[in-house]
This record gives sequence, C-alpha cells and structure tokens, in this order.
Amino acid sequence: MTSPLIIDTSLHWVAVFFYVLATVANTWGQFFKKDPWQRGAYRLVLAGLAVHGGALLFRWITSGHGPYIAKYEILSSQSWTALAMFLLFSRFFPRIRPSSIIVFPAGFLLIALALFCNPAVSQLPPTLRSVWLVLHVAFYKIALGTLIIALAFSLFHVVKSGNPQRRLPNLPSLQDMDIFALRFAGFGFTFWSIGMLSGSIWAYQSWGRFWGWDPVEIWSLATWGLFGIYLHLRRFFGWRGNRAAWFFIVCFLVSLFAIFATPLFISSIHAEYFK
Amino acid sequence: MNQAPPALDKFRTIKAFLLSRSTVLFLLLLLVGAVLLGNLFPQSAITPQAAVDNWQADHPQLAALAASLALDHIYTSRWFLVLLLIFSLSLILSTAEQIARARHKALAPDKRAAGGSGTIHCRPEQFVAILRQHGYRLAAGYADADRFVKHPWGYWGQTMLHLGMALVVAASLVFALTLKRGIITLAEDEVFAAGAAWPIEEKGFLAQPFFLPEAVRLEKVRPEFWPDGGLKQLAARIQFLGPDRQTTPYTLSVNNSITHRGTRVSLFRTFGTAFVVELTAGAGGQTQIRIDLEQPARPDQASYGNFSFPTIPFLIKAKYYADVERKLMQSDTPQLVLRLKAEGRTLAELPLTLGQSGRLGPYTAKLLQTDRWAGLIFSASSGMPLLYAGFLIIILGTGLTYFTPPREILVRRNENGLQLYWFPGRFKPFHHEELHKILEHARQAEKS
Repeated sequence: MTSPLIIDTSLHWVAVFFYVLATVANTWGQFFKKDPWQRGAYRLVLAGLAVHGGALLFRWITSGHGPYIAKYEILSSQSWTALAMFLLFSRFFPRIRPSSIIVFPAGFLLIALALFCNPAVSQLPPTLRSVWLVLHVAFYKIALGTLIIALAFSLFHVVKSGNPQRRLPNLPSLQDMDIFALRFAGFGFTFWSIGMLSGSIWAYQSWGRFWGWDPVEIWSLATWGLFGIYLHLRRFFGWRGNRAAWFFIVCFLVSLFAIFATPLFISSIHAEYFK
Repeated sequence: MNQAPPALDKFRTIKAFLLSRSTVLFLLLLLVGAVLLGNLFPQSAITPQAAVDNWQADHPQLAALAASLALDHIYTSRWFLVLLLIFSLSLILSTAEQIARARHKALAPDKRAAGGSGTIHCRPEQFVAILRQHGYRLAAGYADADRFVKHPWGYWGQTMLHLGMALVVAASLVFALTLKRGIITLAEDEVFAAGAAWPIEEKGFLAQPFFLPEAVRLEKVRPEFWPDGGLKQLAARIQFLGPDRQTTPYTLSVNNSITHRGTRVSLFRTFGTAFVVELTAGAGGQTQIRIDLEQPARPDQASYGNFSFPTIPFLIKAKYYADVERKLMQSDTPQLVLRLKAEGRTLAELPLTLGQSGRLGPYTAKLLQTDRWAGLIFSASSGMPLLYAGFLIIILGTGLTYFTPPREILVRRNENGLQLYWFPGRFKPFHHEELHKILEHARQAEKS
C-alpha cells in the first residue's frame, strides 16, 4: 500500500514541475512580449494549483487538520494561497499581470522550501484546535499573498526608475506601479489586522486575555504598525516613488521575519506552528 | 464678529493636534517602539519569576530602567495606557472626519479625482442602459447633467475601517484598564480558598480587587496523548464550593473555558505531576515536601526542576519520567529522581516510585503520593464586546473598500452629444478597463 506521505509529496513535486514550467514560460513571455507563452504560463499555474490544492486537501483529510502546523504545511499552503490570490486578482485586474515575474517564482520558492522540510504529519496540540485558528491563519495567508504582489511592484519600481533603458518586461508606468503597490499593501495591511484580531479573540477564548506579549504577537503588531506608518506616509506625507518602494520592501522583510523567523529563534506559544 | 467660547477654542486646538498627520505618525512610531520594548524586556505577566530574576541579575542597569519606566509590564503601565487613550481619541476623531467626508463624497463627486472624459454620440437612454449594464445607477439628475454611481456604499468603507480600528483600540484600553486575572496551580483534590491572594495576578489600572467569592477545588486532570507522545487534549473537572456546602461542578479543557458567576475560568496548557515526599532526618524529625514537575515531552525524556524549602538546608534538584519503564506518557508508576545539592556538589541521588523509600543524604525519603496538577486562569474583564464589534466592522469596511470601490460618471448633455467625466477615486489604474469597455459599448451603440 502506498503511504499517504508518498502520495502527498509526489503531488507536491508534480505541482513544483508545473510551477517551474510556468515560471520559465512566463518570464520568457514577459521579457519577449510573447502572449501565447504568457497564456500558457497561466494555464500551467492553474494546473499546478489544482494538483497542489489536491495535495493539500489529501493531507487535510489524512491528517485530520488543516495545513497550519509544521513548516512543510505552512510553507506549502502559503505558496498555494499566494498563487491563487494572484490568479484571482489578475482575473479582475489584468494590468497587474507583470507582477507574475516575482509572484510565480515566490510561489515556487515557498513550495520548494516546504519540500526541503520534514513532511511528516504533526499531530495538533489542543491549543491549536479552534475555528478561530483557521480564520487567524487564513487571514494571515491572504495578507502575505497580497503583500507579495505589492512587493513585486515596489521592486519593479526601484529597478525601472533606476535604469529605464534596461530590458524589462512589459511593465505599467511608474505611476501606475506605485498605485498598485499602495493598493495591495493596503489590502495586505487590512487582512493583517483582521488576522491579528482573530488571533486575539482566539487567545481570549483560550486564556482569558487577548494580548500576551508573546514574541510572535509582538512582531506581528510591530509589523502592523510599520505598514500603518507606510500607508500614513503615503496618504498624508505624499511619499511615493522609490522612497515609498524602499520603505515597503523593508516592511515586507519585517513581515517575513514576524511570520517565519520569530517562531524559529524565540520561545513562544506560537512556535508550535513552525516547529 | 462672534468670538468662539474659550472651551470650544480649546477643543478645536486639541482636535487639530490629535488629527494632525504628524501626531498620528508619532503615535504609530511610539506604538511600534513600545511593542518592541516588550520584546526586549521580559514581561512579568508571561515570564516565570525565576527567569525574570535571572535576567535582572544579568542586566542590572536595564533592570533598573525597566523598574523605573514600567518596561516589565508595558501593557498595564500608565504611559502605555495614555498612549492607547490618545491613539483611540485620534482614531475616534478621525472616524468623525471620515463620516463627514463619506457623506460629502456620496452626495457630490470628488472633482479632484476627475479624469478619462470623452464625448459620445449615442442616445441618452442607450447610454443609461450601458451604464446600468456596468453597475452604474442614477444617483442625481441636474439641469444639464446626470450623475451615475457604481457602489455608492463603498464611500463608507474607509469610515468603517477607521471606526473598526477605533473600537479595537478603545477595547484594548478598556480591557487593559479593567483587566482582572489570577493564575493558580492546583493538584487534584486541592482547594483554593475563597478570597485568597493569587500567586500570580494581573490587574488593570482601574480594576477593583479581584477575589474568588467561592472556593474552587480541582477534582481531576485528564490528559490525552497522541501515539507519538504529543498532547492531544487536556481536560479538568473543577468544583466551586459555595456557602452551605453547595457545589457547582464544571468540566473544562484547553480552548474550552467556562464562566461561573461572571468569572471566566480557562485551563492552562501546562500540567504535570505533584509528588509528595516525606523526609525523615536522622534525629527523627519528619517533614513533607511537595514537588510539582511539568509533564515530560516524551516517555524517554525527563522534566526538571530545582527546589528550595525553608526546612531543608539543601537544594533539591528533581527530575521526572512519566513512566519508570520509559514507555508510556502516563502510567501508574511515574518516576521521581531526587538529587541533594550543596555548594554545587551532589551529595546524594535517589530514584523513587510511588510507595518506595530510600536514603537521600542525611534523610530517608519516601514518595507518599502522586497527583496530577494543572494551571487554572481566572479572569473577569470588560472590553471584549467592543473588540468583537470592531472586528466585524473592520471586515465590513474591508469588503466595502476593496471589493466595492465606488466610482462615478457624470454625463453632461450638450449640442455635440454626451460629455463624460469619470471619477474613479484614488486608484484609477485599477479601473481603466471598465471605462474602456463602457466607451467601446457606447461607440457600438452609436453605430447601431
């Protein structure tokens, strides 16, 4: 009998294969303005997402819990959410499609990192058994997924404004990229807030307090504050262009630290999810 | 000219200060700084006292700074509460401003955002049908123009987001001010007396003294484990012992709190075994000590603890295996290993299971009793309904802001046809395609 773990990781590798092909086709299509290549890349990502989603669902059924504990599950589900969010947004706003140059490799990188981690199923501790956990995790995944799109436009802005002669994909104007980065950063910030709040409600239901100075909580709030400062500077202090893009890149790095690094380095009740 | 009353003048000055973009930026910076300080300085509410003591010994200067600025309990410190108060006032005033702005925008287009105008020549009723197809509805009719709006409720999105955040920050403030939280550790059959002082207590600035009006008894602790040794569930049965020997039993588990007469009781995720050891000295003096150790993580791993007792002139180092055979996570024969230490030297070591006795330095030690212990959290605070309300309003605001962003088209009739003015708001590049499609449909209608 085939072990569920082998089925799970095999499906993941199939998804990686699709994502790699999609990344190559998309990069080629974007840089050389070949529409059929780009359309093919989107179909490949869609196929990858279907297989990847199947793998996550299969694991959910066999493990009895959602993909929100252990590095393998967290990174893999984050990859799926980021790519799914991007496809959804690009369906309604086709002008954001050039950000796929960053989003597709980011999705591929996340799933590849997941496959380097131990795929063994971790059993759910009682502290992580709550419907609020599902909401808490889902909102953060949506937040990070959209922040990756904002990151793409911030990076493009820096690159394009630094060297307009460089061969670049068919990017929107600097002004439009600036607006796209701002809008997706705002969306990510809002979902980050909702994620943090659902975590607070969960903590209250579990421990009678909604804030506990846990390191992950602290870094999450600090990240929220930084994104709040970014949005405030943009709205009321007229920050735009490269200055805003660089500030966003710093905020994004802090958000990665808050989600993925703090549970590794600092003892925390949240550490359970990223052991 | 009428002079405003001084109180009104003062209010306006304070309002202007709280709404100033620099004040808000400064408040956000302070908030980020405060939470990062919470990471740098161990917070007394979540850090074991021994760890706090060690940190203070290692960093005497920082410890003095923490004591003088309340950096060891930021969340309940006065300065942090003042920061929260100013932040919530600023958000409340900003929400009021947002309401006025949303009302204004809902009634008249924001001229500054105008763009993408063009002239079309189809019949007005044809164009109205096209606009309807794209979700635009007639909002107002003027002498020479009509105003069409798509998602007019979207104008309230930012207001909702601000209101939600204002409620959440206000909830945090109320919660921090009224926080009443006591933590106890009880072994099975142990009773915590009514009105007794809490071993660990957190109290808000305005909170009344917090005591249990009834005694509480921990009846049973029931851990369940996964086959790999991880904790599956932890449940406990407790009883409140009212006057006239009236008892109220409850079963609670991790993540499933209960509420008894306004006091919320939650179960801590840590638990373990309380070992009662009788020590008999050579001269015949007897003393009983209780050693509480946490449940080990695996059957073949021990948990450890250091203990000092006033009646014993030695340090006792203890380790605990869940099963003497090292096979099970819970068994009837947990093993306790005691080590007697003085001046850094180990004087004696003795492994014990229930009922066993042996020699431990100058003592004869006997393991009399083993019981499970668990941590119980008692809390009674206000502010959570505000937090729930804020949460829901933020979700509503997010939906309105990001999924139904409002945009408008003003159609002016003149002798050349229909002149269009498009008002897509601040995020124009997102809606370009929509305007193109509308214009394309209008041109097709012109030809037909």
